[in-house]
Amino acid sequence: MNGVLNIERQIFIAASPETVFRFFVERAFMARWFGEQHTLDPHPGGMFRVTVSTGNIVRGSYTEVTPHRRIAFTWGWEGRDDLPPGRSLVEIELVPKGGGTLLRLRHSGLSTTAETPFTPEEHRRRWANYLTRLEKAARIPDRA
Amino acid sequence: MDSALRALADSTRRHILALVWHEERSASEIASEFSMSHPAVSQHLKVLLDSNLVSLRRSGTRRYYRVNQQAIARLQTELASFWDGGLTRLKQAAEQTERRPRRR
Repeated sequence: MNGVLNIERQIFIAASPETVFRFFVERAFMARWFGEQHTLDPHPGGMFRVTVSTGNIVRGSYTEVTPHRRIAFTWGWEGRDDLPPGRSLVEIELVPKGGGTLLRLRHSGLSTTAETPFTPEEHRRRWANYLTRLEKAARIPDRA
Repeated sequence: MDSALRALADSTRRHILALVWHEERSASEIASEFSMSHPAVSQHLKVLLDSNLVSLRRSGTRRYYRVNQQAIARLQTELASFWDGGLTRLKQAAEQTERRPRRR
């Protein structure tokens, strides 16, 4: 257990990895499932910035973009110190399966052992802040 | 869940939570960490207790608090459901995109 924030999810999607991939690298596609405004520059080091709602902006940068297979980007909230940009990592893996795609997501960070400037207490405080903000973000109603 | 998140919205209460994360501490021990009055700290402890983020043990006249790890685990579940919501929308949109008949 080396991370406070450590979530793994997976979901089967009846669409090809080629299609699913576009939802992580193209603005118009991402807008259909996450966020309102997007700046996406999908290559290692390129910007990942999504306005989730007014004043709630997720920012990070892509760390890995392997077409139709893997996408990874750092994740934090802009202008806040609870979970600043670059403080956590989201990794997406797309596995072809049965004519569709098995999508695996891992969101990790806030490690209590890694080389970060934060004390364990600070991690917990930041983690708590982070959840509060995620909870707000999750309440945004679906858009058609 | 809502009351837990509300309780966590306050920085003093998050600080208290960090203090009792690894071991239980008495109310006076906790209060000594803050410059505000003891009754003010007690009020924060009550909010944490009401939201179930900490548990209370009484010994004589002393009150000891410690973090409720199960409640924290539930908050982590909250993060998981945030992603589940997004991924479900993604699944629907991606499947719609390929609505044209595939091999069948």
